[in-house]
Amino acid sequence: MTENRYEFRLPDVGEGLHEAEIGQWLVQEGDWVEQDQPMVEIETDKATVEIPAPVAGRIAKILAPTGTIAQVGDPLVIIEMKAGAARPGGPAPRAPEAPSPPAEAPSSTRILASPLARKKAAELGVDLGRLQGTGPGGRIMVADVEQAAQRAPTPPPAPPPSPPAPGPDGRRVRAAPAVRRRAAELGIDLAQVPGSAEGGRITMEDLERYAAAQEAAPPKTAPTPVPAPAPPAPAPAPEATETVPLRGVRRRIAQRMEEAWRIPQVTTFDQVDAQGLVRLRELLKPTAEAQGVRLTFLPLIVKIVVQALREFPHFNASLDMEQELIHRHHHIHMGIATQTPAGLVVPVIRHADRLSVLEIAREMERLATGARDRTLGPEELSGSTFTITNFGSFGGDLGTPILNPPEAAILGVGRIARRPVVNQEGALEARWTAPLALTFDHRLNDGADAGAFIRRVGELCAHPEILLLELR
Amino acid sequence: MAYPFPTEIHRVVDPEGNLVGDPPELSPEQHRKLYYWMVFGRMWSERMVALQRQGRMGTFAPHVGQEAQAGIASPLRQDDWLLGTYRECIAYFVKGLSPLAPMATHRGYFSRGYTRELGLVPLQIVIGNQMLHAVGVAMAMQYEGTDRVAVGVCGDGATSQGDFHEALNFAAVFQAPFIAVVQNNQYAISVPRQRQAAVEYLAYRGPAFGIPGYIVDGNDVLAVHKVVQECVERARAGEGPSLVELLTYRMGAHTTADDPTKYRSDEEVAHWQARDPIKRYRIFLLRQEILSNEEDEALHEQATADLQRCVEEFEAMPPPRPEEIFEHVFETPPPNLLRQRDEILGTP
Amino acid sequence: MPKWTMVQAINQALALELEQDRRVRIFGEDVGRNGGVFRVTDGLQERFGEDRVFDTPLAEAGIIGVAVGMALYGLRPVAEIQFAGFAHLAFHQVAAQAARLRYRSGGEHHVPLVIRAPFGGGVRTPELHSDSVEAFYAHAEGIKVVIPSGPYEAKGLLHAAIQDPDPVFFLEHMKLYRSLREEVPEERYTIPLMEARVVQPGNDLTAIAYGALLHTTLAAARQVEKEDGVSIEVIDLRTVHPLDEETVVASVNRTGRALVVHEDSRAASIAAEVIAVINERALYALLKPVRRVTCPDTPFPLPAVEDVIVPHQERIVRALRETLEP
Repeated sequence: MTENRYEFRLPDVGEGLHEAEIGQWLVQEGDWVEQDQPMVEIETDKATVEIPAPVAGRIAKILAPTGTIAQVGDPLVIIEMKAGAARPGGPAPRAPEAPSPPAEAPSSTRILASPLARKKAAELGVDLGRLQGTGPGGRIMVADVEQAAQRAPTPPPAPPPSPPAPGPDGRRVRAAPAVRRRAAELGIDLAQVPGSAEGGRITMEDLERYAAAQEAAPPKTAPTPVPAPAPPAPAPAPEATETVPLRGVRRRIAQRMEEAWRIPQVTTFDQVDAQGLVRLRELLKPTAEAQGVRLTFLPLIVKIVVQALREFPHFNASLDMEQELIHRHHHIHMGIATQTPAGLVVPVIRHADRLSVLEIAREMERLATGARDRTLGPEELSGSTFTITNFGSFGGDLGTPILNPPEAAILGVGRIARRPVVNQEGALEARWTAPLALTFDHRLNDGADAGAFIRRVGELCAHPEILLLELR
Repeated sequence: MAYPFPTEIHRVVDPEGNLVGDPPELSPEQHRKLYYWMVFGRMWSERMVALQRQGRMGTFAPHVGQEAQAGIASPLRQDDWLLGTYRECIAYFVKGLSPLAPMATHRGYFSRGYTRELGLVPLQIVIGNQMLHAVGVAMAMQYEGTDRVAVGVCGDGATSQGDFHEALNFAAVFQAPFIAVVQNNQYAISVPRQRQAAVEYLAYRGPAFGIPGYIVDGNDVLAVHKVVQECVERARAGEGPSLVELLTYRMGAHTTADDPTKYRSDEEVAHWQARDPIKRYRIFLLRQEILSNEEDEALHEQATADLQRCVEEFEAMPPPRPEEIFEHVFETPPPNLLRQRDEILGTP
Repeated sequence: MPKWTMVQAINQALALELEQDRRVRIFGEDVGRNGGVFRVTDGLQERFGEDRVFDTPLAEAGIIGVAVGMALYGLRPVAEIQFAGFAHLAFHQVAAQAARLRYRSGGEHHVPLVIRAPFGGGVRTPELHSDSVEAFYAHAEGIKVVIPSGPYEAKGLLHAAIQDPDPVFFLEHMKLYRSLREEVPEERYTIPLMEARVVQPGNDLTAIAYGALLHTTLAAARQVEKEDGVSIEVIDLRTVHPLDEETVVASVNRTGRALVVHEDSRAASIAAEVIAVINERALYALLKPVRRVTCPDTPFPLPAVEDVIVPHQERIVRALRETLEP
């Protein structure tokens, strides 16, 4: 539009009208109009009103001829203003509206229908686009709409979309918002947590108990819902990376390892003669089996380590840097690092120093089963004062165990195998040996202490009968 | 107090411009001022409708035909108060209100400019409520020992409201310096005057409360001025309230959203057209040689120019800022309101 | 310090305001010669004259309507509605006029009006005398709704209300008028509007109440504290609209449990608003659903059964315990 061309658009002339029918034009193209001179009559649902010219000038173009239905905002007329005439202010402000639908076809191709007919059509659900009007110029009248409605009864309204199907157990996990937030912080899936309150609601206590158990044990799989078979996964593209949140046991392990790694720790290695240990196991095996126990090396090693710890109590200790205190434990709770399908856990043989080898073997079996089945309670998964990790069971010879805080040390036992050993005579000999790796908190103990400790363990492995000297 | 039902219809100038009663004592200046506001008021109302049709104004209630309302305010001092509705704009102009104020009101801006200094309150929307406020103002004036008066103006429909009756009753009981003026323009939107009350004249309500009632030709500005003046003097003298009924007619629609052809006849409109308040006052002024034809022309030109300037100034007025609606609910916005503001408008 | 009933404390506040501010006028039905049906305005007309303290015709809309006019003009009217349940007749003057004039005028006018009205159950009044009306007015934006919980609170809040530049609906619980005495300073003091009060601090649950039920709630809280070894924070809202959200939210964020108690019926009530605020601003602290102990959504319980229905200590104790469960 050039500077002096004024495009006049249909205002809302009622209160909340959306369209009006253009009636008689009181001016013609080429006419001169004065400001506020009536230009055109328009008919709305409420009234017929005259629209006065907003500016003085010449009618350049009538854009909405008589009989058209114009929407509020449609251009009606272009007026060429007198030179120097002031442009009037904008329309009265309206509340901001939702984005308007795409512009409709120009008014000339718009459906001709009287306002009442449109109202009726909306009421009866008649599509005006399908009607032939019988009014002047093919204008659709109320009667046309009513007839059409009789011919084709309106289809019933579409049923509302059905609600989403409930979950496998029919409802969401029941837990208070604060419990949900805490669970999110802990990375715990509430669906896995047994709820003790009414209707299976999970209380904060339920969650904390579960979280404590999870520190060592893997999560139970949800007892009720059977996971739907996963849809076949699309073949991953080369170099595809899958990103999954760190959750559950893996998250606990990660946290614990990170915590452990902050402790200044050193690993000392030795390969010890296990000739005596192997012989002893062979000797005891049938007796144990007679009592229903499958005897492995580990219960014997536990017994050996217990003896070593009695002699080196500063390895059965923990350090509290915050309080600057060293706790020397008189009890010996032996942690046994155990691999489960969900990850590493450390069940605890409580008071290992008071148990016989058979009792230790039985307890280990019970704990291993419990760890696999995830039936262990927090007291069975925490409180160890020393830990043994049997990395030999995976076939490894060497390894650097990481401390299990707040313990002072952890003993890694490698695969017990026959290896070439140079004997005292200087000759090669095939002997049963065990690689040992002792990782210790260097804040509590020095290399010499560790050396002494690992040597003593070696001595006892070579000559377990020494244990008899200490037997009460 | 016992007052009889009024019988006389007060009139000074008849529809043909003949002097039929004692005119009030007004200086030529005062006459010209009254006339100017009636002329300007009609132009303004017509312009407001045009602006609305052009999409430049919100819903508006035209007052063409009721310009003699100028006489409600002409007897008042600035320290008197006037509380009316959306159809009393001319009376408000006479009282000192800038025409920009109701333009802003009708465009959906705050109603500013109806100040205590001018003795004005924003145009009332709820029918009849303002009558009680006016009585309260009058009671406050009385309490403070002033000789000020408060005028409440409402329409014929409002006389059916409880507030109207309670206002007259309170005013009478406390002998408040209050004048109730009813602009009986024959319709409450489409409902005719006969459907509002069974009495012949609404002014009869006055004596029922112990208040004198007056019936006035409401298209005769001099009669309106004269009767209101008399009531104001009574009120100032501590002689209590009055009720004045102005018989008039709304020539246009109730509002820009109304179509009066649906409920009244052309004959009826023609009947009242012949009783035009401006026409008869003009004849009177010319005959009394208070105004010459040239002066009349000049006055019309003046009004036209004033109106044009008004529209320009109005259209230059900034709209209210959205934040402002949160600022005037209470003197100090409570924190929760500020939070709602920030939620809707974004944190400043 | 003298020990006063709430009636005496309010009377004293009104007297001080009349004494110190000539703009203050007190009026309503029976407030003059009779001194009010509860004797709240006793002796005021005698002392300050009929200009200052006067009886009006029996018309609630009229009383509030003229009060709005007086306030617009510059006075400080204190209008009494004889019983809050009768204020419905004046609802439009309160909600559509008094509350909105500041807004409509863009801040040019204001309505410093106080409407006092007794309400509340437990005194076996005839119908509509006991009704709680606060929620109606809480929705009339532009008016503050204040409900004191005792003599000391009433005096300080009333002084603040009368000097407030905006309209205040001041609701006085009838049961509190004479049932308790408190030490009340004789001089003028104000308690800020729109500020809730932590009546007793606690850690395990936040109990929110106002008016007469504040005392029942306190008693219930103390019983549960004593018997169950818990600690309960009790908040008196004082101004029920606009809400002091901060005090409520801070408390619930700390305790994780909340209970709202009032005498009004339940739907669309002050409790509904308090809980909505908790939902918006303290949800993640919640350990249990926030419950309401209120009157049911019936008209105010008939006097013959009100003792059973209106929230009493056992009901509150029960709700506290249920909310305190893990």
